[in-house]
Amino acid sequence: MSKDLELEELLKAELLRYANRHIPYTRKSLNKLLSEDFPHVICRDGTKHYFHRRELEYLASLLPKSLWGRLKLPIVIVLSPELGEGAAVINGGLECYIVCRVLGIKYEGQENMIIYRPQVVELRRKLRTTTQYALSLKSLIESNEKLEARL
Amino acid sequence: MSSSTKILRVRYTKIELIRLKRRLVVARKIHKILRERLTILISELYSMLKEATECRRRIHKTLTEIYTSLIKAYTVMSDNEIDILTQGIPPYHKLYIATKNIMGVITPLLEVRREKTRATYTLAETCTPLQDIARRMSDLIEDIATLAELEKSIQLLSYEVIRTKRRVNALEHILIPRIEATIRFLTMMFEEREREEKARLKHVKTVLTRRRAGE
Repeated sequence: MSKDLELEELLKAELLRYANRHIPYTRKSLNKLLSEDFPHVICRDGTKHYFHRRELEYLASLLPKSLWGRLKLPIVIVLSPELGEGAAVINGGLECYIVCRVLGIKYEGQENMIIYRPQVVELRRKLRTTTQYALSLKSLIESNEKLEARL
Repeated sequence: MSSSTKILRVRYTKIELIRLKRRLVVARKIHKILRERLTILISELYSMLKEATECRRRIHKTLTEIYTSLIKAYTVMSDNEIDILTQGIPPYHKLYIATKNIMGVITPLLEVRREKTRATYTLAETCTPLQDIARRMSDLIEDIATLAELEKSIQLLSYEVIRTKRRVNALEHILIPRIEATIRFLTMMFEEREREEKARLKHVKTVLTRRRAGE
């Protein structure tokens, strides 16, 4: 790999880090968050992201108590430009179930699902602090061979 | 030549052309990310604006109802009685201020929590409109906190939208066109140089052929 391409790779990693710096280091379970006085997570940029207790209680009402420990928050809405503008992916079975319940969609046991802009807006309106956006940069990470071919 | 299509000051070498092409790829990617970020921020902003408008309308409606009830209460009770009753009310709510992170923008989060305190008055001491006011006030405080949170968030998000938009525009209208123009210029220059070289070789060949024929 030439030095330029190495730099290019480093820059891409840096871009990824910059674009998604608001994502928390670790997600916490609903159970843990409900037991905290001030439920929060620490983001990658060092800031604290607090959750609305109202939203946590709403999520708790959607799930049986046995599953509270399995739901990790915030739910990450992965925006994928390669799927089309405004399209987003939700990963995780439990997360998909929650999203389906909130949006009034039928849940069919899927492990990940695609939602579109109006649904994303609706989801964010209802779960403003318990969801977080993330940018999928698949299109950004091209292999070196592709890059070299383009040049 | 307009300022946006100016070419960059680079050395006229092939290595520089390769570097510029790579720079263009990176610039386009950054542009794509920033545009996506801008789209998210704008959609968040619009959603918040809509919510803030609804919240403000709700507050106005509640306030109108509260004032109507207050006028009714004044018809039943005296000023003094109402003052004495309201002064003894302990604080029912606590306001917690925290932060939330929306796409890297730190916005406030205001949460009103109801405290479990007992009323200092009995139902016999008050009248129905006054009880109605007390009930509505509780909802009103929550709405006011929500509105404050939304309006500050809107302000912060709009600053971020302006900043991101400026960056996107700088990339879209200045940097990327300049890199493209420089690449075009360098490519044309190298092609021209190649053509010149070919013409020179042809000329040399002709001269050499002519010389050999003369000998």
